This record gives sequence, C-alpha cells and structure tokens, in this order.
Amino acid sequence: MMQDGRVPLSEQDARRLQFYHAYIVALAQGDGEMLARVLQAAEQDSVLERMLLALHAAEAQEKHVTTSLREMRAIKKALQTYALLEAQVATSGHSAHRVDTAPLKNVAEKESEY
Amino acid sequence: MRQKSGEVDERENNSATILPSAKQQLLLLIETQTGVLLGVIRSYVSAMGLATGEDVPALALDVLQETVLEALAHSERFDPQRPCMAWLLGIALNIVRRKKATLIKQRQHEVQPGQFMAHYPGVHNEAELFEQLSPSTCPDPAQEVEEREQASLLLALVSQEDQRVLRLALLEGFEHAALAQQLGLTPGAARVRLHRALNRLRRAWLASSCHCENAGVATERRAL
Repeated sequence: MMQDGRVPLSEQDARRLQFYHAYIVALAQGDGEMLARVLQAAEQDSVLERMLLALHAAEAQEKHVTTSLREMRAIKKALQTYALLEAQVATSGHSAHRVDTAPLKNVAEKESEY
Repeated sequence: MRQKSGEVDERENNSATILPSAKQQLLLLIETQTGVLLGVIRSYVSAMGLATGEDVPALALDVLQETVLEALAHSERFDPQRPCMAWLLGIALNIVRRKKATLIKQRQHEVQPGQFMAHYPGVHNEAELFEQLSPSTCPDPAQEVEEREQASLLLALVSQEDQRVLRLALLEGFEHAALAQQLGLTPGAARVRLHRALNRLRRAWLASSCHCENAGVATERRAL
C-alpha cells in the first residue's frame, strides 16, 4: 500500500481495472460500444472475465434478481430441443441457419403456466 | 441467480450428448451457465434501454434464444481454452445492440452523419468525422504509466479493507473458501463482504464519473 492509500498495481492489473471501470460506467450509460470493447478484451483474459461476472453476481444479489427454478427447467428443455433439431440438421445436411427452432420464450411461457 | 441453476435435476440428460464435439461443449456450457447468462443479458437489455420493468425478462429470453442460435451457428469459433462466457456475452450484446438499432430506426430518430458533422466545424467529410470519433489504439509508454496511476486511483475510492477484498478476489483470483480463508471469515460472510465491496466500488465509480463525465470518460475511451 502506498502512503496515499493507493495500491501498487502491475501493468496488467491496472489495465484490467481500467476495463472494469469502463464497463461499469458503460453499463450505467448504456454505452454498447464500450461494453463490446471490454468483452472483447475479456475474451483474451480470464481474470477480466471473472471480474465482470462477479460484478453482475453482486448486482443481482443487491437487486434480489434471480432466475427461477421453473425458468431454468424451461430453458434447459428448450436447449435440449435445439440439440435435437441441430442433430437432425447435421444428419440431413441442411444449414443450421435455416432451422426454425422453438423459441425459448414460448417454452418458458408454457412452463410458467403450471 | 447462479445457485438456482445448480438446483436443476442433474439426472436429466444433457442436450449436449447428442451433438458433435464443439457443439456438445458449447451447449453444455450454456446449460450450466444459463442463470448467469440470463442475468447479464437482463442487465444489458436494461442498460441499453431496450426494455423496462416487467418487459425485461421476456426480452432477455428472446436475446438468450438468439444468442444460442448464433453461437451454435458459429461454433467453429468456440474455443473452450479461452474465456467462453465473454465470447457468449459478446454475442448477446451484439444482438441487444442490433435490436436497439432496429428500434431506433423504427422510431425514425436516426442521426445522419451529415447532421452530426454540424457539431464539428473543422470536419469536412464523413471519413474525417469517423476518424475524429474513433479512439486511438496505439498506447505509448507515458500513457501506460498514466493508466497505471489512474487505475491505482480508481481503487483508492473505496476503503483500504475493501481494496484488500477486491484485490484478493478480482485480481488475485481467490474464490469461495480460499477467499474466506484469506479474510478469516466463513465462505458466506466472505461472499457478502465481496459483494458489498463490489457494490461500494461501483457506486463510488459511478458517482465519480458523474462529476467528470465529459473529461474523465473521454480520456478513458481514448486510453482503451
């Protein structure tokens, strides 16, 4: 710790903190371009990626935002549908882009009707 | 959020088992990280002003769906050795941005470059305008020293105890039990401690950025 209360940082950590700070400000300001740039950097840096995920986890906890078990099951079911359709596409030779898969949203809505 | 995902019955078959390797791994990742992905996408949807209130979860699901399709369509780019969540979130963010752009076009509130140029008297054409707006990507040594100083100052906005927690958890990678051990706390208390420190840092940064929005953020954008 420096005398003025600042923490000495390596060049890499300083860079990470700069990105982390930019990400938080960009989230608050809706700056998609900056968010994309930080995510691009995080694709090359697992520490930065972990920092961003920790930020969102803390935000979710603060706002008490959770994904319900029912919603998770619905999404899981939809992903299985995707996988089945993708597998069918793989065997039939058609492009995956042309597969009209069941929307997650619809599956989730049906699930939430319970 | 994340803890909920763990509650899904693990005995259910993974959808990934029926697909070839890259897609298998990708789907497995998406399945295990669905709660995290959906939470972050909700943040993006809100932050980008794409939806508000009760509309956010439904739109976030739409975005997640498109993210899954786009990721599967580009599964050749999926590299399990690299940070994959950042890659997936990048796809999700692009989808949010595209939806936002479409929304803006629909509302016919587009600002044409020609209109924008009126605010830059020294700029004579669109190429010069984009050049002026593009951030510099060539750091020099003096700039790097300055950045380290700035980053150090960023952490100084919170207490020394918060700095210690953040440094251990974020930069040095201590997680869960290891972080708790370093702090001399239970894992639960350490998690709460970290989240509080993160939120204090976020609030301090946002308060700080409000004060120097024009100067500070512009400098930072150039630096990055």
